[in-house]
Amino acid sequence: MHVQCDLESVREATRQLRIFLAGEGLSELEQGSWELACMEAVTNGVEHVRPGEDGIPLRLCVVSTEDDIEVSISDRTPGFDWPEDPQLPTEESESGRGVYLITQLTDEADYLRSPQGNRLVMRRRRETRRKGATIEMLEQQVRELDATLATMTEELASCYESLTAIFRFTEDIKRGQRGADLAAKWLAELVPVCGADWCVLRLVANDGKTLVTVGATGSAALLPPLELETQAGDIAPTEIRSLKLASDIWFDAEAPLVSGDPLLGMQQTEVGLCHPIFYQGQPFGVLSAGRSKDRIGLSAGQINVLHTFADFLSIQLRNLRLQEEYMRGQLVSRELQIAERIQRSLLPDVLPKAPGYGLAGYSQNANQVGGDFYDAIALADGSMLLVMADVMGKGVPAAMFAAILRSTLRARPDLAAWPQELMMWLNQSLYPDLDRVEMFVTIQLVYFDPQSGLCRIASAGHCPAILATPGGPQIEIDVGGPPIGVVPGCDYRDEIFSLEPGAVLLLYTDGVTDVQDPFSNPYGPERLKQFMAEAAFQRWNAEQTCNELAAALSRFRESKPAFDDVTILLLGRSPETGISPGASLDAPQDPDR
Amino acid sequence: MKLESIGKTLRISGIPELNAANAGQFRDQARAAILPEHSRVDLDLSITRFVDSSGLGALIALNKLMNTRQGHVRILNPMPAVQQILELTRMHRVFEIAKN
Repeated sequence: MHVQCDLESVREATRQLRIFLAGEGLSELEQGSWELACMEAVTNGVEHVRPGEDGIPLRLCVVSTEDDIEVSISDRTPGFDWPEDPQLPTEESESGRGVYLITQLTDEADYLRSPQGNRLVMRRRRETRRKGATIEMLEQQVRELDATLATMTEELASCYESLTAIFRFTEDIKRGQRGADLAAKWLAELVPVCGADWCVLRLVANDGKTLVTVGATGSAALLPPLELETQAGDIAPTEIRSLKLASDIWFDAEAPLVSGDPLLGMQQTEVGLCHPIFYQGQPFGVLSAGRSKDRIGLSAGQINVLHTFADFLSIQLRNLRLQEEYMRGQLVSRELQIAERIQRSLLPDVLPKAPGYGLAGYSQNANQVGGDFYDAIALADGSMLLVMADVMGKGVPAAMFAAILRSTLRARPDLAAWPQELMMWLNQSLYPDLDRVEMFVTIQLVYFDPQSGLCRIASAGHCPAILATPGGPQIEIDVGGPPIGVVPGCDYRDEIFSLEPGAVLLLYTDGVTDVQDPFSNPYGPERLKQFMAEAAFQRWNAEQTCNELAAALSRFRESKPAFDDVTILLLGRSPETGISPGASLDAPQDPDR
Repeated sequence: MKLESIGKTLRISGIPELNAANAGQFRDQARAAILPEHSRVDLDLSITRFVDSSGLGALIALNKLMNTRQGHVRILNPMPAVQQILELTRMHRVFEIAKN
């Protein structure tokens, strides 16, 4: 057959060849192989023809014998060195597969070069012998049909297995198994379905910095986590590279894993791949699989199964992660609820009463429960001990220490009249526990005798109390002293002052002065003192002052959410009550003096 | 050859052959039809009975173009002979091959 030196003619010639071979009794598969091999060979002859010789037709000669088919093609190209062992070019290469295909599709290929022209001779043994072709052709066709059926059955079976596995997995999820357990179980099922020998599923950790193994078959469970960001100059492991490139990466004898790649630790692998998984465009994980048995590796169908599994697994594991995060969130909010209940239960239901005086308290929690608390303990002789405290920290630990503090204080009514002594004893009792958990408490203790109107105050690192009298200055009473739990065995001191008719004493936590307006300006101690001057001037009683202060803070904050607890305790003396002349606070006996 | 733009997908079908004689033309027409919004090219090979190495080259060129735009080429319903050449040249590792 003479073939004109253009590609249309080449195609037509290979079609004619196929028709001829069909007539010679070759099977569809054999015809297809020859059609393709000759197309590659003749195309090469046309595309690389020597300049000026494209008018000379190529010769294609077919010899059909009982045992084999031989096709020779002469061309007028400069020729090339026929490779000993033709290899495929890189996957990105758009050409260079012709010679490889010819050697794969024929049994023998000889390339003879000469200045007059080159000749490629290809031979392939007949699968169907020519004599008695009719029966043998039918047998061959049956064999081919059987093979096609077997492939289809295999594909159907793997689809069926995939589907049933997916249904099983969905059931597993409903039974509430842990994500890691499920991943391991599912991968064990994936291995036979996709024809692999091993599988590893790694997911991007919650910190977004590492790739951690969540499921694997065999020894892969021991693979160490991988850093997503590799050092400059280092070759990233294949799993990381596939995630960065957002594409499958294959490894085999021609593209082996580099030294140090964790997948080298897997059982002997002839061929394998890393398939990156993305969730809503974000890197989510990598599914890697390998096979040790044959060089061709996984078929297109098996790769499809693997990809489908990867998508399914990632969606399910993502859902499980979200579920676990939701559960954790629920636990935290439950913990906060408990802490808030503890804190609420610490506040006195009813404040003690004393004729001519008023007492009012207010406590408002911020989002997170803190350790603020106040107390007013009525003593046997009609006097009382006022307590304002702030336990450093938030949540259950702070609320628990507030509870301990409250009961510790109430255990020593004998020391109530001596706030300095009581403070020292508190520090002594609570220091070891507070120190162990690196917490501390600021506290203010005010012993108050309604008979005399005198108060004795001690402070452990707490913000100063404010005493306001009508027409008089607003005094900040700052006794000084370290918080409880900071210095073991330290001394505290106390001060005495008198609550005159119409005066109001304010104890508070720093959440009050820290309240911020929408521009982040704090309420501050000066504004608080001005408020107290106004309260004294208006002659508000304790309850009115308390309500007005809470309202003033709320107005100041406007829409800005509170970020700290606000706690206040007010002791007011009515304007009509006079101080008993010669009153003294030394009446109760100090047990240690 | 039929070109349809369906959302983010360009679907190409109706290709009887992809060979040395027509691969260049196919590649140029497909490239011209790919719009910036396309993130995938679905290449329906259900009636394609012959693909040679030049045809493969055109498919690889399209896939490379799509990869530069974070997209990819998917091959739909290849006939057994075409699937065979895809597997023989390991192109089934590069392309997603789907049946529907």
